[in-house]
Amino acid sequence: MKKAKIYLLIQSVLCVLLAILLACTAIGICREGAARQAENPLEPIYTRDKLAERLAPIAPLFLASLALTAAGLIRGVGEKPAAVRAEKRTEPPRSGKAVGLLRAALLAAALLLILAGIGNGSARDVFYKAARICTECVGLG
Amino acid sequence: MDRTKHAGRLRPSTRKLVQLYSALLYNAHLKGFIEGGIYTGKAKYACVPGLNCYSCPGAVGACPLGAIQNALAASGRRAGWYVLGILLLFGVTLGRTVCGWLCPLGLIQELLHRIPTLKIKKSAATRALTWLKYAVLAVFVIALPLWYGLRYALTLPAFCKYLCPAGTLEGAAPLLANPKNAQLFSLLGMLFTRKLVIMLGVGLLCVFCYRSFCRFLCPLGALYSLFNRFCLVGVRVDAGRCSRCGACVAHCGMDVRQVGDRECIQCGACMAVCRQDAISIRAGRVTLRAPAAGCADDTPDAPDKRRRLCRVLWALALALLCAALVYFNVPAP
Repeated sequence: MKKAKIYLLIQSVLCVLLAILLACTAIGICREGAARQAENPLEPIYTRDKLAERLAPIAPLFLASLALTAAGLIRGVGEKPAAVRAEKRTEPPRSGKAVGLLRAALLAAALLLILAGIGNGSARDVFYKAARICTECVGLG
Repeated sequence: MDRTKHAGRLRPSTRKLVQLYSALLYNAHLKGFIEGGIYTGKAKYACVPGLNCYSCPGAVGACPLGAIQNALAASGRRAGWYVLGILLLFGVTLGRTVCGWLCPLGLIQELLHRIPTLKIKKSAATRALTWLKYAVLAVFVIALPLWYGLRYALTLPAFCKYLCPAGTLEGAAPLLANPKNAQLFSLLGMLFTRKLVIMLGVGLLCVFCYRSFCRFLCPLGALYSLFNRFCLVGVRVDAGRCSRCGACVAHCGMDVRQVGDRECIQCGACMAVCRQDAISIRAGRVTLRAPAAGCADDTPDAPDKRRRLCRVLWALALALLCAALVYFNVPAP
């Protein structure tokens, strides 16, 4: 049992360390790149070579964590969260008929809204947005 | 640990298979990962029910969160009835069954949580934190896009731009990993760094805390939770059999107070621990998954009917997936 706890602790520390290192790497690249860009606006902040150079030292840690994870999963090491004492609450049962009517009404409303949306062109808006790379969504500016 | 029992733990459950299936179906445009571009066909008129970034090279449908933010931003020009209708449809039919069975990000969170580490147990604090996602919904999904759209005629998908980890993971990562998109590196800056740090933070939290994005941050889960009590498909408790022992709530990884409440993702994990066989998964009156002893209202041939129904549904699902893979990847003549 103690070995399992030590394993879980080591794995937890590795995961946190990995996340912190990756975050610091990204922040470091961004800061250095921004400083270079201040002198030369055409200079990109991120380059593939820069990323590869900065991620290379983290790779062994990542592989070690991966290997430990695989070993842990195969051996079945894992802390089972202790059961939380449940509150014994009861709620009055909803009337089946009322719920059925509500569902039917909302379904009808949904279908009407979809048809109205196709008619007023908002469906086309969804398509136009989805068919283009959302640069803000993926962090490209 | 008994090896046979442990081998069973490693085998994917039906729910895991359905999650994998839906992730593959939403991202059936596999050639996008090779070509480095996104799908631009007519299927993107439709929103998928789960959180799947439409800038993912494989995505074949629109993301409902992105769609609603854009609709609200454009509400000065045109009412976004279409997206509202789609969300209402998914909410009433599925509720948070989407979260438990049909969301790729939910799958990723569960896989991350499988990494053996110390875990954060649910508590009153985590239950209180579940209200945060409603604030995220109100501010980032509704208020900010609406404000910027009406006031400045600007489209600001605030949740996607500032918070969403799916955009970085499903969109940016595969796009940037493709050598054909080398020119995209010149666009990376502070925004990308911020989003990357958020993605790492959310991922780390998911390792230690079950489905932490789902529980504390996901505005789509917040939206669907409004329909959870009366959605068509979901987990149902037979009040006649239930002894109110609370084993279901104790076993659940989510911050539920009762099976089927706003925090319930309708995954059915509680069925395994219910000693009264009071829990089942239903679609209206049709039982999709019954407890071991069957349901109280079962006819003698009900188990056989359910098995046949499951086989038919799986066959249809596989046919749909094959058709989608061919349709979205084979070039038109």
